[in-house]
Formats: sequence, structure tokens, C-alpha cells
Amino acid sequence: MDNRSTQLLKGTLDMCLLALLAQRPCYGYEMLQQLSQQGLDVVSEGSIYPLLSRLQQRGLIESYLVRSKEGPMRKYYRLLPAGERQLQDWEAEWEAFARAVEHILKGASE
Amino acid sequence: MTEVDQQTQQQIFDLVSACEGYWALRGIRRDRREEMRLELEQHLEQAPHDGRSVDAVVGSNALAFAESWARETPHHVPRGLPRVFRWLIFDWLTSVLLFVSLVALFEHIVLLSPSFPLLLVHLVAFACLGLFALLQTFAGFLSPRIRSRESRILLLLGVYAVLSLAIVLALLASDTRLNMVIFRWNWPITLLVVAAAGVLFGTKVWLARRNRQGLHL
Repeated sequence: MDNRSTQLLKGTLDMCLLALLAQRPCYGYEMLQQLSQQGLDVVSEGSIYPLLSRLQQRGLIESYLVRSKEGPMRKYYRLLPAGERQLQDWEAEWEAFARAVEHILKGASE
Repeated sequence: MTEVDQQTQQQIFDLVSACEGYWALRGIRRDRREEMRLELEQHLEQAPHDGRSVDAVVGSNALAFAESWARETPHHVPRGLPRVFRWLIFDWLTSVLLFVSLVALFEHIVLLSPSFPLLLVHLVAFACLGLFALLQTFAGFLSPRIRSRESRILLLLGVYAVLSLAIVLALLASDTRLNMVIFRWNWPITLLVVAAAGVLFGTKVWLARRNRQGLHL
């Protein structure tokens, strides 16, 4: 992924993580795999953990431990009602931003 | 398991241990630290199966990664008299008494000395041991850059040798007598010191176990 995409992803990673958790509870590595399947590769994968910690601190998500098939516990995250509301706000913000950028790009190409 | 796999396992173990040690110093609660360790370890173990290296996970600066995670995690710095007091008694004093007990017993039993003199050189040795323990704890942060554990240990020993030499040279240059006697005592006092070290160490282990059980309830 080029540098511009990396920067764009950095600015929207928290929103993407909330959106993934809105679909179903996930563990950290699983979220990265889902992002990667959509063509979004996080440069420093571990950077999602401080971010998840921050989202948890803000009461947007919560974590819980589940025994994995291999034996040891695995930490899952799930979205909380405050997280759902925050995701709606961020989605609206993102759509307005993307529309504005699109208008500018279309204007430039005409 | 192939040799490369073993090397990666060592890399992961050393890195995760260094991160956990750092988080402990940053005042993150034990149960939270264990969760963080588990999460990081599982991620690092899974990444090679998808063709990703350790530094793809934590970046080239593992210490910065550990710090960024610690910053976003509830933690406390040891504040308030009870906490400082607890640290002084159960961490610092216990280590000092254990060290002094060992040296004193060595003097009495092996060197057959009736009295034990605590010399300045003993304190320097104690400081050097502390420095080595600290360096060893954080050597794991070099894992993303130096894959082989042997190379990390060699580098660690090199840094340790330079720092220890610098300490000794600085003391010699300042005309400090390393054999200066700070305290001197006989057998009964040594036995008291050994008993005190044992009681403190035992209490520390008991408290740690009780806290651990409390967290798992």
C-alpha cells in the first residue's frame, strides 16, 4: 500500500475497527485479516492494540476472554451502545468528507 | 520444528517478556498486563504463518510500540506513601537483604571468616547485578532488529561490560577505596539478616500469590 493510502487508513482506522466490530465480535488478528481482505494493509499491525485500548477506555467497546480451539484464552472485542452511536457519527462525518473530496476531484477533471 | 521456527519462537518470547517488563514498570496492573501479553504473543505466533515478520507487527522500534500501548492503557505511577513504602520494603530491601545474606554466608562458610565486613565493592557489585538484570529484561526489545538470541546476548554482554567498566573506572578515578568497610558484623547478625530476608521474600511471594488469586476470582 502506498504512503497516501497508509496515511488515510491511519486517520480512519478507529472507525474501520468499530465498523468491523459492528458486524460481529472479533479478536485483534482477525480484524487485521478482515482489513487485509478488503485491501487495507496496516503497516505496523500492532498499532491496532493501542487503538483498541483507547476505544475501550472511552467505553465504545469492551473485551472478554474466550477459550480458543487450540486451548489458551483469546481476547475478543465487542461493540457497546456508545460505540454504535459513535460509529454512526463517524460514518456521517466520513460520508460528508468523501462527498466533498469527490466534488473537488470531479470539478478538477471536468 | 525447524531451526528458523525455534529462532522465531525465541524472538517472540524475548520480545513479549521485554514488553511485559516495561508495562510492569509503567504501573499497569498485573491482570491487564497478562491480557496484553497474551494478545501480543498470539498475534506474533500467528503472523509468521501468514508470511509476516515480527517487525511487521511491532515496527522496528519495539520500545516505542510498548510505550504507545502503555499510554492508552490505565496505569498508575507509584504515588503516595503506602505504595512507595511497599516498594521500598518488598522490592528494594528484599533484594538488598538477599544479596547481603548470600555474600555474608559465603564469607562465613567458604572463607571461614568469623565476622563479615560489608565493603564498598559489595555495593558496587550489587549495583552491577541490578544493571545486568535491567539490561537483560529489556534486551528483548532488540528482537525485531537482531533475530538471533545469541547475537542479542553478545550485544547485551558488551554493553554491560562497557557500563560496568565505566562505573569501576569512575570510582577508581575519584580515589574511592573499593575495600572501604561500611559495616562489620558477626555470625548472629548474619543469621538475623538471613531470617529477615527470608521473611520479607516469603511475604512478598505470599502477597503476590494472594493478589493473583484475587484477580482470578
